[in-house]
Amino acid sequence: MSTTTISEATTTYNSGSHPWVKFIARLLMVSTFPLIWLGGLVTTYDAGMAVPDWPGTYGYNLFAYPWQAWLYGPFDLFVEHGHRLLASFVGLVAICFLVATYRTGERPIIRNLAWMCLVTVIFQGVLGGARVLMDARLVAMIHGCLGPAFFALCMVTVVHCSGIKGRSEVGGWSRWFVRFAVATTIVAYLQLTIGAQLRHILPWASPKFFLMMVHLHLTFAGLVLVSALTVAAFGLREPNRYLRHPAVMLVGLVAVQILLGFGTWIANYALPWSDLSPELSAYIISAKGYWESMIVTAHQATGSLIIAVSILIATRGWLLSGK
Amino acid sequence: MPRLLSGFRAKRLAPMLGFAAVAALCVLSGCNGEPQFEPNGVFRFRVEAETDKDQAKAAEAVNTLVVDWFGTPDKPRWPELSETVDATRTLLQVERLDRAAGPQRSDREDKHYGLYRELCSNCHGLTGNGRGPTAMFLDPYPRDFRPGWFKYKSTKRGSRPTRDDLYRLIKHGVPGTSMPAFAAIESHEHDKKKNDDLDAVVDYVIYLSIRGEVERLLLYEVANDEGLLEGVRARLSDGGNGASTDVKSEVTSTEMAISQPVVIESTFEIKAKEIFMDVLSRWAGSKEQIVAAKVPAWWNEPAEHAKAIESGRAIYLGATAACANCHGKSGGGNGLVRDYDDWAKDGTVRAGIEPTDRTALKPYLAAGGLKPVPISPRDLRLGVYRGGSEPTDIYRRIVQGIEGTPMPAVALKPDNPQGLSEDEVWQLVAFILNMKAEVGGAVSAENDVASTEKVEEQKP
Repeated sequence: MSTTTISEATTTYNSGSHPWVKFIARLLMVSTFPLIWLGGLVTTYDAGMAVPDWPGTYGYNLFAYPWQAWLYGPFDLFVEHGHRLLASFVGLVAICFLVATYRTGERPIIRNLAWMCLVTVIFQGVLGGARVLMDARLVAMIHGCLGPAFFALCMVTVVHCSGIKGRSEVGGWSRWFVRFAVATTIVAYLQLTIGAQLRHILPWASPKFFLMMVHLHLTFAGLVLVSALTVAAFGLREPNRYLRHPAVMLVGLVAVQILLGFGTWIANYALPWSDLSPELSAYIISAKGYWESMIVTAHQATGSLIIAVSILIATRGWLLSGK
Repeated sequence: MPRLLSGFRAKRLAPMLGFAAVAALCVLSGCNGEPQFEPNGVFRFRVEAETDKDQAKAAEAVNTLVVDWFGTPDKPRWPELSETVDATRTLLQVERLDRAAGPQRSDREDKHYGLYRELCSNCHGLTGNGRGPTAMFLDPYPRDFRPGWFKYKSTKRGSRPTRDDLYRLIKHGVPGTSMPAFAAIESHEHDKKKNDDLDAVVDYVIYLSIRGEVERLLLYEVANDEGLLEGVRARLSDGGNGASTDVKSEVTSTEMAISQPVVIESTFEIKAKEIFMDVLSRWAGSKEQIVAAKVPAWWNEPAEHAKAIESGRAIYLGATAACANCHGKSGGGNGLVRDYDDWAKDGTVRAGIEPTDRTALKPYLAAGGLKPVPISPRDLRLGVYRGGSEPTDIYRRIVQGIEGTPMPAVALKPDNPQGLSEDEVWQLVAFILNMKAEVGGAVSAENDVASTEKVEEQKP
C-alpha cells in the first residue's frame, strides 16, 4: 500500500477507519486464524473433553489455572486449555474493538460489524461451553462451523475498516466477478459444514449417511474449484491489484486444499488403491501421529482461509464498485 | 452490502442468537439418548433363510437376554457365574471395560476413557459389527468381531487369538489397509508404566466379540430348538423381565459394578449359560492353541538360505502347496480364484444368496449387510504382509491359513503323507520373503497376464 494511496484514502468520509480501529480489527482477524487451528487440533486429538468443566478449568478460574500444569501437563489438556485461553483473548479483542469504534466515532457500519463480532464470539464461547457441559459432539460440530463464519466476519470488518472504497480506480471489475466471489464463499462454507459432518461423525451414524456426506463433500469440492477458477479468470483481467492478487491467491488455496483433502483421506483411511506401489502399500496410518494430525487440521484450517479470501474478494469488489 | 448492514441493528442479534442457541441445544440434547448395541440383523436374516421362518420373537428374546447380561455401550456388564470366574480372570480385567466403554474423555493425569469410541467405533461400529460410519469406504471392510473369527493371530485356525495377538495388531496396525497403528496411544499418561489404554481396548474388543458370539449362537439354538422356543415365549410373556428383574435388583445394590451375577432359571438361560461358558473357554484357552514356529538353523547361513529359496520356488509352483493357483506364478495375487471372505458369505452364500445377485442381495443389505466384495489374494511381490512380516508370521499363515478367508492351511506331514515337511514350509517362507527382491522378472509378467485373463473369463 503506497503512501499516495493512503493519502488518497483519507480524503473521503468513507476512506478508512481510525488507525487504532484498523489495527484492532486486523488483530481480531489475525488472532482468529490460530484459534481455528487450535480448535481443529482439539477435534483431531479428541481433546474436547480433556477439561470436563466450563468456564473454569478443573475448578480453577480459566486464567488462574497453573501455567506449569498447562504447559507440562497432558497434550490434550494443553490443546484444550490453550484453545480456551486464545478464545478468551479473541473475545477481549472483540470487546476492545467495539469500544474503539465508539470512542473514535466510527461509521454505523463499522459499529454494527463490531457488535456482530462481539455477539458472535460470545455465542461461539457459549457453544464451546455447551459442548463440554453436555458432552455433545453435535454441538461441537456447530461450534466448529461457526468458527470459520466468525473468521469471515472479521475479514469483512477489516475490509470495511480499510477504507478501500475511497481508493477506487475504475477497473475491469464486473458484477459477475463479485457474484462469483459471493458464490464461492457460499459454496466453500457449505463444503466446510459437510466436512464438519464427516469430522464429527457419530459412531452410530449409518455407513450410508457417511457415504452420502462424502459424495456431497466431493461434489461441493468440485463446485468450489470451478467457482474459484471463474473468479480467478475474472481476477486476472482485473487491473486493480486489490482484487487481482486475492483472486490468484484463492486458486492457489483451493489447489493446496485439494492436495490436503487427498492427504486427509490417506491419513484417515489409507490409500484407496493400496497396491499402487510398494512404498504406498506399505504405509501404515499412525493414529494421532504428528503428520497425520497436522494434515487433517491444515485441511480444516485452509477451508476457513478459502472462505475468508472469497469474502475478501467479494467485499472489496462490492466496495470498489461504489455500491 | 454496506447499506444492508448499516440498516441492520446488530444489537438486535443478541437476543435472537441467544434464543436460537437455547432452541438448538434443547433439540440436540434430545438427540443424544443413550446409545444401544445393534442386534445382529444379518445373522437373523441368515437363520430365517435357513429355517424358512420369521424369527422375530427369538431375536427379541435373545436381544433382551444379551442386554441383561452384557449391558449397553455406555454401561457394559459382564455376566458373573461361579463357573467362569477363573476363565474371566485369565482373559481380561472386567473393571477395565469401563475405560473403553462410554463417551470419550480424558483427565488431568491423561488417563483416557471411552477409548473404543475414540479409536475404534468409527470403523468397527459401536457394536463391533464392522459397520461403523466409514465402513463402506474401506477395503477390506473393518472386522466384524461378533463371529469370533480373527485373521492374524499366532493360534490355530478356528481358535481365538491371544491377547498379545490383538495387542500387537492394534499397536502396529495392518499395513496397506485402513487399520492404523495406535502406538502413539501408549504415550498417554506421563508415567508410561501406568498406561493400560491399549490393554483396555483389547479387553473391550474381546468383550464385544464374546457378546456378539453369544448372541449369534443363542439365536441359532433358539431358532432350531422348539423346546427353547417355549422358554422364549414364557420370557416374552413376562414382558422380557423374567431374568432381568432379578439381575436389575442386584444392579441397584452394586450400581457401578460391571460384573453382574445372572439368574439361571429357564432352559433358555441354561442354554445361554452353556454357550457363554463355551465361548469364554475358547478365549481363555487361546494361549494353549499357539502354533509353535521356530526359525531353522540354516536361516542365517547365506548359502543355505539361497538354496532354500530355490527349493521354496519349486514348492510355491508345485501342486502340494498350490500357492500359484491364487497368488499367480509370479506372486502378483492374480491367480484363478475369485472368492469372498466368510464375513461376506455369512449372510449371503450361507443364506442361499449369490453375492453377485443384486436383487437377491437387497434383503441382506436391508438387514445391515455390507455389499460383498471379492477378496484378492495378496500381491506377494510388494513385500507387504498384513499379518506381520516376520518369518514366523509367514510360517503360521502357511501352516494355518488365514481364518475367515479362502487362504487354506497347507497339508503337512506326518498327518498327510503327501504334505509338506516343516523344513519345506520354511523353504517356502524363505522364497516368499525373497519375492520382493525378485520383482521385475520377465517370466513373471507373462504369467500374470495369462492368469488375469483366466480370472476375467471366470467373472459371471
